Amino acid sequence: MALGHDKQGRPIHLQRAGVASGKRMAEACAYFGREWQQAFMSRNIFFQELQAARMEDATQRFGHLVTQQVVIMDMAGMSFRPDQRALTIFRDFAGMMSRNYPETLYKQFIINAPRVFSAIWRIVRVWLDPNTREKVRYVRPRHTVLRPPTCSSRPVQVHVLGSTFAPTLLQHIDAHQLPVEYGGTSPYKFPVVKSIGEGEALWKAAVQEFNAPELLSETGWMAAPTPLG
Amino acid sequence: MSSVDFVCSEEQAALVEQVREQTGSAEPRHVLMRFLVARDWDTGAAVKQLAATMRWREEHKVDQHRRPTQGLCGKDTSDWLSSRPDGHLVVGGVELWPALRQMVLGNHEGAWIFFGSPPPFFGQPHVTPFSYG
Repeated sequence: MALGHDKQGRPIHLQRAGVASGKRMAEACAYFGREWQQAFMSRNIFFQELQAARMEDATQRFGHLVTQQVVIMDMAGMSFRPDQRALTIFRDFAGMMSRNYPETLYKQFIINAPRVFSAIWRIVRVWLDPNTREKVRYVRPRHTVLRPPTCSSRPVQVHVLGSTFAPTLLQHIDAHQLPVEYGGTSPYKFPVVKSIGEGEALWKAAVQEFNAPELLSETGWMAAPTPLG
Repeated sequence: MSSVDFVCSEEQAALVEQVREQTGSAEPRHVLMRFLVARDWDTGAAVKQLAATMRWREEHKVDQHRRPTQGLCGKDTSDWLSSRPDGHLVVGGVELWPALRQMVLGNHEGAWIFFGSPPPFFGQPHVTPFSYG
C-alpha cells in the first residue's frame, strides 16, 4: 500500500505480508491462473512506478530531493508454511528491484515479527541464491543489515521489531502519516477484503481512479512467456 | 523533471554525464546517480546496468505507467486536497494520493515476504550526496 511519507518525505510502502500470505496467496494464484507470476510482477512494477511518482511529488512538496522509499512490512497473521510460489515471487521481485530500481530503499521495518523470526530466516536463506545471501548479514538477533552485491557503501538498515514497534516507527515517521493500527493518528481504515474477487474489484476501481486503464487486463500487461526481470 | 536537483561533487557530476553520454538516457541526473552509487561509481558497470534497465523498460512497456510529476496531487485537485505546513498533502487528516492507498491489494502484495526474508535489494551511499532536509 502506498500510504504516507516519512519525516523527510520519503514515500512509505506498507506491506501487509501477513494478510497476504497463506490462503490468500493460494486464492490469488488460483485466480490469476497460469500467468500468476506475470500478474504479481506487473503489479509490483506498477507499484514501483507509483513510488517513483510519489518521490517526485514529495520532491516538489518538501523542497528537497527524495529518491528513496521506506518499507514497512507487517508480519501479523503470517503463517510459516513454505510456499514455492511465494519464493518465486520473492525472487522475481528482488531481482527486478536490484536490477532496475537500485538504491531506492532507505529503511526497512519488519514489524510484528514473531520470536522465531531469526530461526525461520536461517532456514530460508539457504534457499536464496548465493548472490542474494551475501547481501544479507545478521548482525544481532534483532537487527539485520543488508549489503548490496558489489558495493562498499553503507548498508540499508533493517529494523526487526516485535509487537512494540510504534516508538521506533514514530522516530522516523510523523504520527499523522500512520494509521491507528500502526501507532499513528491517521483515521484511515484498511479495506477488509473477504475474497479475491472483492480484492480485484477494489483494484479495478482504484486503477480506474488513477486513470491507468492499461492495468485492467486480468493478468497485467506483460506477455506470458517472456523471462521476467 | 524535478526542479530540485541533487548535490554532488564535480567529479561525480562528470561521471554522471559520462553515463548519460554512453547510454543516451533521458532520465534526470539523480536517477543516473542511483545506478552509479549502486555500482560503487564504476562507470562501466553502471552503464551496463542502466542500458539493461532501459531495454527492460522498453520490453515490458514500463514507461506507460509514468505519471506527470504533479500526478493526482497536482494543481487540479488542490480544491479538495489541503497542504499542511510541513508539506504533507492531506484529506481529512489522511495523507494520500487518493486511490493509491488501496492500489495494491493485501492479497498479493507482500506475499513474497512470506518467508520472513527481508528483500535483498539496494544499498545506501556511504557519502550521502543528497541533502535530505
